Amino acid sequence: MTQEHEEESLLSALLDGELEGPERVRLQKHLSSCASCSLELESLRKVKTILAKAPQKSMPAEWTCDFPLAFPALKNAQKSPSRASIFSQNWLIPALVAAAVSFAVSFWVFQNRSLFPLRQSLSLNANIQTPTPTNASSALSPIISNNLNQPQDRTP
Amino acid sequence: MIGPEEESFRQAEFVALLKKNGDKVYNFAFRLSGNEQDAWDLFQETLMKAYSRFESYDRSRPFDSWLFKILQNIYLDERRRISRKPASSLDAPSPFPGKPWEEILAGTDLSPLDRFTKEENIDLVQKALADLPPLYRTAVILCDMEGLSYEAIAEVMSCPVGTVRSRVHQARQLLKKSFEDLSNTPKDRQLQ
Repeated sequence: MTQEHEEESLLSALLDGELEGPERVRLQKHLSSCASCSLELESLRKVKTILAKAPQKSMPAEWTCDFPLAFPALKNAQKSPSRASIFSQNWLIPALVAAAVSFAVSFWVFQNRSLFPLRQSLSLNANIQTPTPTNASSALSPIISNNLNQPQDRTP
Repeated sequence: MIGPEEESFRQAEFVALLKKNGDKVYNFAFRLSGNEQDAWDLFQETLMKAYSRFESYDRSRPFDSWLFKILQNIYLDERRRISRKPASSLDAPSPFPGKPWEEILAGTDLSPLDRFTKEENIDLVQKALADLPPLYRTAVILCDMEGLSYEAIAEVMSCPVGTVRSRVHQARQLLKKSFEDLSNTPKDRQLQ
């Protein structure tokens, strides 16, 4: 195109309805007297028509049926599950409570099992009351027995 | 952090928007990439990115334009990554080696174009599109196949409206030349 012709891209703008006002009027006036620009406009229109007639590709149907099922990869794109979603599980809180209670009971039983034999033996010694000065092992019995039966005075 | 109810509401909203706009977005992916497999990958990646950024989507704007923009950026990034050179510059070299742009753009013989239209060589459209520089291809697909206005295209492509007008026009000029060449090529060699 020579300088007397309009800017070429204006032809496409006119074709697309994107030209308004004085520019549109000026171009239309030019087209009425310029065969080469009119031919150019017509060829652009044909290109546009060819593109518009091209068949549209549709999105695969399974995408719209079940979102998470059709797009499992999307789950991985999300952030890690929130705390709210974890604690919203109905079974989780009772399970945690049961686990805590069983742990506490086990701990209590374990502690008491280790104490029971000592307490039993101490109580037995206190009840027998057979001090023998010559028996070194039983010499401690009255002391222990007193410690068990009498409150300790810890004041200095 | 969002709860499960909010998450399911978010999914439902996304799916509803996708049902309305998914076909257009998939078609755009197909026309840009040129084949079903690449279109599928591009489409999936676009939806993944869109969903992960769904909070940032402005509900007052068209959803399809938002997806087009994400898709176009993914496509161009991928092309740049593959080619290791800017494939989308307006100063891009001529798509036909040895032929300057002026030579490609010249020519007003309409008979091959008429023949191309008349013979309904619609399947060859994709081949002609594939020969376009990516930014020209994007602009003309959005304009002539998706029906977007120049302003909407400018938003998708993050460029001025005048640039869109220029790209659409250049793309049509190149397509016209390609259609004419394809029309003059024997049928058994057209898709080679």
